[in-house]
Order: sequence, then structure tokens, then C-alpha cells
Amino acid sequence: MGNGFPAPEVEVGRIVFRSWEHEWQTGDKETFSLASAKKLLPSEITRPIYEALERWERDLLRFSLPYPPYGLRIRRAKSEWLDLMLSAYKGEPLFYLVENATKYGLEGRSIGELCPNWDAALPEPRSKQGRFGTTLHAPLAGSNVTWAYELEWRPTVFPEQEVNIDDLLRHFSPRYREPAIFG
Amino acid sequence: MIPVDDLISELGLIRNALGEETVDPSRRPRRRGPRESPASERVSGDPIFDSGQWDVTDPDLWEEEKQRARRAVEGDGSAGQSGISRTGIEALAWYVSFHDDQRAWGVYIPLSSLALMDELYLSNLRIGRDRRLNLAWSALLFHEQMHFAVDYACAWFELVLRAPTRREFMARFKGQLPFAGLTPSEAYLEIEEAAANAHMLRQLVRKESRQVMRTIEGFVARQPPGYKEGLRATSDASFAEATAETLRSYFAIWAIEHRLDFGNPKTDWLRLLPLDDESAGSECPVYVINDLDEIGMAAGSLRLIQCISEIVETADFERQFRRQDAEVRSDWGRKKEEIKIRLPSPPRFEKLKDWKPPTWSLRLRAGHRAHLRPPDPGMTAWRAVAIGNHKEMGHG
Repeated sequence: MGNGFPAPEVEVGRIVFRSWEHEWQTGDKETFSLASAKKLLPSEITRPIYEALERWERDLLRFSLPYPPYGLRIRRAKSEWLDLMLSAYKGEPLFYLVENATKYGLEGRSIGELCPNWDAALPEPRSKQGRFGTTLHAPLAGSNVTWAYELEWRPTVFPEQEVNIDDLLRHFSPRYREPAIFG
Repeated sequence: MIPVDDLISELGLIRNALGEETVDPSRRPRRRGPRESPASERVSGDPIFDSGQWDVTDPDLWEEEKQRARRAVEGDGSAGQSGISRTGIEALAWYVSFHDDQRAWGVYIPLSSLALMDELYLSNLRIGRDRRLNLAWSALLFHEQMHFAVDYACAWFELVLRAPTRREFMARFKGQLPFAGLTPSEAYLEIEEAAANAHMLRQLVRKESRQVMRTIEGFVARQPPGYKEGLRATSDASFAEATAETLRSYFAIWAIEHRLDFGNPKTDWLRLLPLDDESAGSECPVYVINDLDEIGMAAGSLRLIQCISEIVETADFERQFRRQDAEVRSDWGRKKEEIKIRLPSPPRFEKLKDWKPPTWSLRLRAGHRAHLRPPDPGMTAWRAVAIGNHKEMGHG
């Protein structure tokens, strides 16, 4: 390969949503989107958290693109995106922040700070047997939000730093050269 | 709209942008075994259907084919074992990309699919069979036109980026995995099928009744993942998002390669698709495949009428014709020439309900009509049997 232009580094991964409500309802800790997550509590109780999560998810989607048919997404490797975004968005490092719950007002906050009357809305009893013999506990108002709900960009190809776009494009890459028949 | 032939010429200058499909484009995805491909014919304009000689000659085969088609359309697990290569609407009609076949690209619709779709999904409608066949035709065509529109948008980007976007994308669905551990999770681009079915629903709702739309929605709801999500993508916003996500899926890698911001939600991707462009309908070739014998029906059971190239005037017609004034006689002469090329849309040319033998009415000037009867089996000429004003012709 090689046409003089460097091949961009990429990350291949998926967006993962971890929710205690989804685990309580289905036994699965994670799902692939907010829309696919099962809910337990009334939306009027959880709305402040979900509104922040929706902004977070929107940004994760905004800065990655679908990569069919594998059910995955791809994005530029972080270092390259930072260069692009710093130049395009007047210095605001948007991309870096999409992976940080702080931006959405969730990191370091207790659930009760965002959702009044939380404890009264919890199911009784507040714990139950989960899959694989574990005990699930409903989070109390004093729990950290990110203990109960979290979005994550999760790389699926390791080591993630070494994925080159030419690995994905193969012979369609503009840098592709047919292997020499003789040595 | 830039003609596709011009796009093909330019794409030919981009390495790997064009390929050569080795499969006969008229081969039906649910075909059972290696048989000779049936004849296909190009269709232009809105065809008219005549099922006046509907005849199931092999009831066992007809029943077998109905079940086979149902399994294919609905993505039944056992369908794959019977050699069916596509599911959803693509089991009934399909689009061959100009990226893969520069000579025979276009939309293919078998007559057998119209008969089967009518029988399986439309027969509860309280409208005549010819009208239902026309509905089946429109539904299949609208769905496939979305695939053409996506193909066209791909070509546009390929010319801008000098990149073989579409063929790289399609290769992922049939090629080797770029990394160990990756597993394909979809056999076709589900969001594109949702967008195609949504486009079909959005077009049909403009002219069809609520009862018809409920039936078509039921047809969509029974299709496999992706296809059935078309029901949730019919609003302007959700259709735009389904379209955007379809194009992002095709272009993602190239967006990264060229540092393009394809994730921007304020981009109107629909503008790239020739869906509302009237010339798009004529730019994309549509072929009908005459394969009724393969599902146990007589060859003339379902006729698609595009034009009437040969007319014999009966003695009664000639007698009535002589009584008409000069303008009506002249109009008949003109119409005879016009229908050699293309038939006017209903009601200007329509089948008369419950008339025996089957009779068609062609509107002439000043409320006059000519009545035509289709060729008898084995014959090619239509017969002009009567002419007069609409009262004389029994139109009330």
C-alpha cells in the first residue's frame, strides 16, 4: 500500500448503555441504545437523568458512524479527531468530552440531586435475585448516577490504537497496490 | 438529473467503482432450480393490468409457490433451506445496480410476484383484481425506486470523492471479515430496507384509501427486520433520519478517509436522492418478467398492457364510426396512433366493470368513447367494437 497519503487511524466499537433498570427487568446489564433499554420507574421520576443520557448518546452517535454489517460503529482515532475538532470548533474539544459524564451533569452527582422522591418510587423489595446467582440492588437516592446509568464507547477491535483504515478498505483503498508476483 | 449512462462513463474512470455481475438479472430470488431465464420486457409509464383470463393450470404448484413466496417475503427460517436467496420485498422484486451491471441494470418485477402478492396479501381488499395487481406493481416499484435513488446518491459521492464507495460497501456483505472476531449481524442493510418500505408507504398514501393503506401496512408488518421498521419511518423526520443513516452507512469509512463530517445532524441528506425528481422514474429502467408458467398459471392469465399496436375495426364499429362527426372521427385516428406508443392512465383508458366479454373504454373528445376488446388467445390484434357518446355506449 502507499500513494503518499497516510492512512487514518480509526476506532471500531459500539455504544453501550448500562442501566440498573434494564438489568432489573431483563437480567442483562447492558443494551445498545437508550431506546432499546427497558425501564422500571415512571418517566416523571427519571426524566432528568434520561434527558442528560439522551444528550450524551446523541453526541456519541454524532461523532461516530455506522459500520455495517457488523452492528458496529467507527470513528477517527482520538488523536486525529482532536486535531480536526479543535480546528473546526474554535478550540472546544467536543469529541474528548463525549466520553466524559461530567459534560452532561452526571459525574459526581447523586441520583437524589437530580430526581426528587426517588426512594419512594423504588420497587419493594429493593433487591432481588439476578441472573447467575447475583443479587440486584435498586440504587438509593444517595447513589452516584453513574453507578446506576452509564453510556460508554466500547472498542471491539484490540489493540484499538492499531486499527488502520486500510485494514477496513482492503483492495478498495486508494493506497492499495497489487502484491508483486515475483518477490 | 444527470443520465445514468453519463455517470457510468465517469465511474469507469474510478478504480473498482464498477463491476460485472455474473448472475442473470432476471433470475428470480425464489427460483427453485437451474432453469432457463424467462423473457423480460422493458416497461415505461404506468402499465395497465388485465386478469380477465386468470387461469391456474397447476393448482398443486400454485399452492406450493404461494407457501414458498410467503416464507420468502416474511423471512421464515425454513425459507433459506429451500434455496431462496432474498427475503422481504426483494423476494418479489429487485433492483440491479448500475455499479454491478452496466447493461441490464434496473428494477425487475416478475408477473408471478404480482399474482402471488395479490393472492397472499391483497385479496381481502374490496377492489377488483386488476386494480389490486396495479397496487402490487406500485408497491414493489416504489420500494425498488428507493434502492435506485440510493445507488444514484452513491455514484454522486463516488464522483466527488473518486472512491468506489458502493462496491466496497457491498463487498462487506459477501466478503471476508476485515478482523477476526467480527460477526456480520445483518444480511442486508436493514435501515435501507426500512427507508425503502417507508418511501413506498409515503407514496401510496397520496393516492390510496385508508383501507388499502391498512392492508399494505399489514404486508409490511409481516416482513423481516429492517423491512417492517418502515412502518415507523413514514413521518418526514423519521424518513429523513432513515435516509441519512442509510447514506452514512455507505459512506462512513470514506468520510473518515476524507475527513468529512457526515455525522452532522443538520445535513439534509434527502436532497441527494432523486425521489421527487420526475425524471428519476424514467431514468431507471423497469423490466417485467413473464414467468407465470413457473407458478402454475397459464401464460396469458395476467397481462400487462403498455400499448395497443394493432387494432381491427369490426363491421359494427365501422357503421357507428360513419355516423360520428368529423372531429370525433379525426380524434379516433389520432388516438389510435397515440395508443400504439403509450396508453393513457385510467379513467381515460379503463376496463369496464363486469362487462362480458371483457371490454375497455377509450375516451375520445366531447364525451365520446371507443370500446375495445383484447385479442383472443393466439391473436395479437385488439378489436374496436363500438364508438359513440357516453350515453349511447351505456356509460349512463
